[in-house]
Amino acid sequence: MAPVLEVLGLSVHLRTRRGLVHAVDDVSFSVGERETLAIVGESGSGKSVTARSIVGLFPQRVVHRRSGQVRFLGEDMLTASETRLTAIRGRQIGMVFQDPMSSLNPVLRVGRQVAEPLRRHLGMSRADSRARAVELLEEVRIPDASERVDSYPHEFSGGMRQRALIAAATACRPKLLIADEPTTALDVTVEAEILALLQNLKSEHGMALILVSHDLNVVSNVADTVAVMYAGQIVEYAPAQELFARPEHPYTEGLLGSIPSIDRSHTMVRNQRLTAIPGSPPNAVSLPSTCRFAERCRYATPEDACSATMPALREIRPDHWVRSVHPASERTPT
Amino acid sequence: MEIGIRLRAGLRPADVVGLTLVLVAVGFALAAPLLAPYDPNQGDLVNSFQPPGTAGHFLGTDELGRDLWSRLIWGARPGLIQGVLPVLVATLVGYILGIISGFGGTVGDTITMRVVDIFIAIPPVLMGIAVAAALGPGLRNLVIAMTAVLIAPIARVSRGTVQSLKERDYVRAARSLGAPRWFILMRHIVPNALGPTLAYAFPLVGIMVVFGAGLSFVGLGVQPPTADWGRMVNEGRVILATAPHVSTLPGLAIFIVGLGFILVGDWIQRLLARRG
Repeated sequence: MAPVLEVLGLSVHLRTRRGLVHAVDDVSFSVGERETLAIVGESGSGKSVTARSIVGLFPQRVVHRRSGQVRFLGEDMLTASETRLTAIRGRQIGMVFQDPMSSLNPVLRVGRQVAEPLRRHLGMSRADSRARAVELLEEVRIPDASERVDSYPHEFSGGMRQRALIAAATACRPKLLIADEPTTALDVTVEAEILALLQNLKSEHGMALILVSHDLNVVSNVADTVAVMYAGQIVEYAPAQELFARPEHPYTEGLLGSIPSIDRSHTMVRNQRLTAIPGSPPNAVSLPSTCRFAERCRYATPEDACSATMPALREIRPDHWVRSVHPASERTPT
Repeated sequence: MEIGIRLRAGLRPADVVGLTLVLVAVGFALAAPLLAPYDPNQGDLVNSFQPPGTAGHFLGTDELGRDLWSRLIWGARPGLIQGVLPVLVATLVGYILGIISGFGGTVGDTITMRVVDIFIAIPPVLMGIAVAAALGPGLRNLVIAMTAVLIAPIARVSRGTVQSLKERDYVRAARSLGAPRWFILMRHIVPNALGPTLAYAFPLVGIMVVFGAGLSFVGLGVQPPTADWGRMVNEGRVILATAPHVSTLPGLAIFIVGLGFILVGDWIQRLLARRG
């Protein structure tokens, strides 16, 4: 079956105050129906830029150059007109953002904001769309939806606002939902509920889901496939179970080693040493032409190939891609 | 109902004072023919320069024997017009300009803002003199001059507000749901930019009451014999030593009404700020 979304060699240069930033560099991935792809990386790794590039949500003055292809149901989104993108956004691709506290207009009732895409894309009447908004709010488990539909955003908690925003983003039953750090601004218990909700909606309505996150813990429970990004590039790309069981890239290993694990009795494992990745990511304005992780990599040496050229993304096992000279399975034990 | 409760809850003593002063001034302006005991322009040379407290003229009379109390009451009309009308018109025009500039393209923005810069560079009094020289003095042209002074700063404030609103998360969220530009403009930008623009404009009314009186004082506003506070201060200037009340009483009126509007402006600013 053809994937819902196929990104091929996407490259994005952004204009910033400090200069031209190569925010996304040759990124490729695909997402199928009912599949969850997680894009993981730290701040500035290009994960959000990748997500927003899919629907062209950038002011034109910021984007300096874009290349590659973003094929959504066979149609290239990079070359699509703004009118076409406007018709797709909210109808076939929904999007949820990080901060639910500020993503709703404070002076409009929640129900109206949830109903908006229905009226716009499906041509529903005011009354019909309102009734449908109640159902949608029920679907995202907002209690007393028939009353809360007339509430203002400030009467909602952060978790409820994010639910309402998810209801709006999925109102027209899009084929693809992009969630850009949807739980980062919420506390941990709410986070679990939101993630479960996203999973439910995905399987119920046969959506594809792209989950952008900096948190591998969040990703581990829901993702089918994981793309790890570092300094604008995908450094590792594999099915989730495979990636968590046998991480190959030193950066992924470092990320996994920095998370405290919790055992069956829900206490932190004692005497566990959390490892930190030394250093910080390279300056995005002047990226090295060699391996971007080399400086922080514990396996790289100045004589290595990684200090001379950029390692290519290669398939080290079936469906397991890695961009490193020193993947775990090729290291000689010391 | 809900709004009524919220308004009252936010009232401080200073707001009550301001509202009272403004309402009294408005009341005097509206009911001038009923409240004024004499024709404000009817002279009585025999009884000129009567001090306050004189029987029949409790605030005294001016150099032509006109009743000062009656003239003060009638003077509320041009006084209020000079304060309110320029701010009202300039807010409307400046708000529209600010939205066009802040939401439209770079070219429109650059042109609008450079013109605004030019207007801001013109000293307000000079603007008053220029308009009076071109169109002649008088209340209408005074209002035109003051409006011209106010449009530029108000446009600048509303443009800034629009630009910051454009980057709000809920605008981005609306875009991600497929909202077209005009929809974002009408639904998210226009209503939300109004509050900060009004919050900036309201306190200007008090300042304009005083500024308008100043322009009238130098002869650019209301022409004699019509009663106008700024004008009256000027007329009493030459006889300040012998009959100080002719000048100081209208000056006091300017001060009181100006203060009233500034207090009310502060209150409205606070209300709008709290609304977010």
